Amino acid sequence: MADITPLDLQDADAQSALAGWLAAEGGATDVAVSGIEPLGGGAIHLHWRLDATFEGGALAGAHELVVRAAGDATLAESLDLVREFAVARAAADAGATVPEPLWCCEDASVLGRPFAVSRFAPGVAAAHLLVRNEELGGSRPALLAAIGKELAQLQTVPLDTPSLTFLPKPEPSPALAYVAEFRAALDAHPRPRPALEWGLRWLERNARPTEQLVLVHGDYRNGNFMVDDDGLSGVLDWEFARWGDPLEDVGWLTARCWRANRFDRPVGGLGPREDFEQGYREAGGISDLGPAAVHYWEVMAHVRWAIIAIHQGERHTSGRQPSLELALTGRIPDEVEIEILTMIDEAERGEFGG
Amino acid sequence: MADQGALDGLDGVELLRIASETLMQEVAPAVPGDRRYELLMANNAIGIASRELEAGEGPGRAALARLEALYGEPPGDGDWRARLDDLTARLASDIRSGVFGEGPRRAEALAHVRETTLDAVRVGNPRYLQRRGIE
Repeated sequence: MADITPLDLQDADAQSALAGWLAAEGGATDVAVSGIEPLGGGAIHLHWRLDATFEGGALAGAHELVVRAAGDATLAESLDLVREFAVARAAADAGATVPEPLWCCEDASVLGRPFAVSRFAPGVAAAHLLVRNEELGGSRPALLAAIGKELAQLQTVPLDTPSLTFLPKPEPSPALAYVAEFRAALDAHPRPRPALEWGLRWLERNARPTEQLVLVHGDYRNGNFMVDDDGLSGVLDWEFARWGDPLEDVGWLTARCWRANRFDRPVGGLGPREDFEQGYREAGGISDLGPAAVHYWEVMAHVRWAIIAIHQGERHTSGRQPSLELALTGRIPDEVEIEILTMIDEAERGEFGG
Repeated sequence: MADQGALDGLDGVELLRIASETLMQEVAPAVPGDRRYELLMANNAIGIASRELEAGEGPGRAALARLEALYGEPPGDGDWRARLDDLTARLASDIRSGVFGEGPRRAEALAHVRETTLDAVRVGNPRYLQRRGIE
């Protein structure tokens, strides 16, 4: 997307175009926009918070909104902004706690690039703060239960949802589709990785069948949980969504690589599995959360993270995006591989839940 | 490794050590909080480079010896790194196709993979092995 025009929402023309478009979408006679400020977070897209006052229409009154515009770079493996909006909308319709997605604009004549508008949801989403500060996000057991409940809700999005026909259905199964995808990724990488091959062979030989495909968030972990004083205020970043196994998001959530060194707290370094599992079950979660199956998907999560980290390192070494952070991320797969080998050993000894 | 005597004790490891100490003790207090993460990353990179320099050719040559034993190959002459790369590529391909799925060579191959990975983490992030109780 090198041909994209720069976008600055502080610019008066851009604000006027946005206000006119918001008025049309909201059925308002006029919309006044003010207080625009850029928001951090999100490696790919641009975010602004703003106040919008609608004259008439369905949203008559004052609202805090977030505008999310397509960034200059995209990740090949992630959904574009328009599709991500459709996924978040479907998740919200299924009862998931998502900053309410309002409208999406594919017409580049408004702001020069696609953008989406949602309600502003208060809170912070920062993995290290959440792990370190147990006061953050209200009662910790309640937060963990809410994370379980959210997942159960998200998994009720119907497979035949008309707005989600673009999401691929993995063949022949989610597990084996991942194995093939990751092997192809390794083949495109110059350095052979015997430990990852060992993990992939194990994942292939022990592949878990998927009885029912569900909507998978794809990055369901501590850094994407926005919390305020009352608990979970929103699940963010839907750009890695796909149809898949009900345990994909569970394995990603509880994998050791996302515990921020709090290996004693399996759920993202936040707390024990039991609170999360109780929330999931009480909300009618589709999976029985069998320990061996969860363990399998945790191994998958580690292989996936290793592949992503290799890609990030390559963004630096290729010269496309020189960055110390990307370069250091490229060294992370080694320690992820140690976990993969350890977890396979545990599985062969029947030790799960660590 | 360079000859210590020739360098008066000022080899690369020592230069990286004093560079790290200068960054963290003298520069760090002057670095604003929002740039501290970059400073820590730079210091981390220095640490990795230093451990890599200290480890030298040892881990690579040991990996090559294990692979030659695994494949029953006599120790080769010539470019040992190219030979290590070739045998590592062969191992990766053999693991994928199931050559080491069963039998006594499975344990030998796995032991090699594990030791090679451990050597890499000892350079890249030794604290991780301590935190996890692996070493």
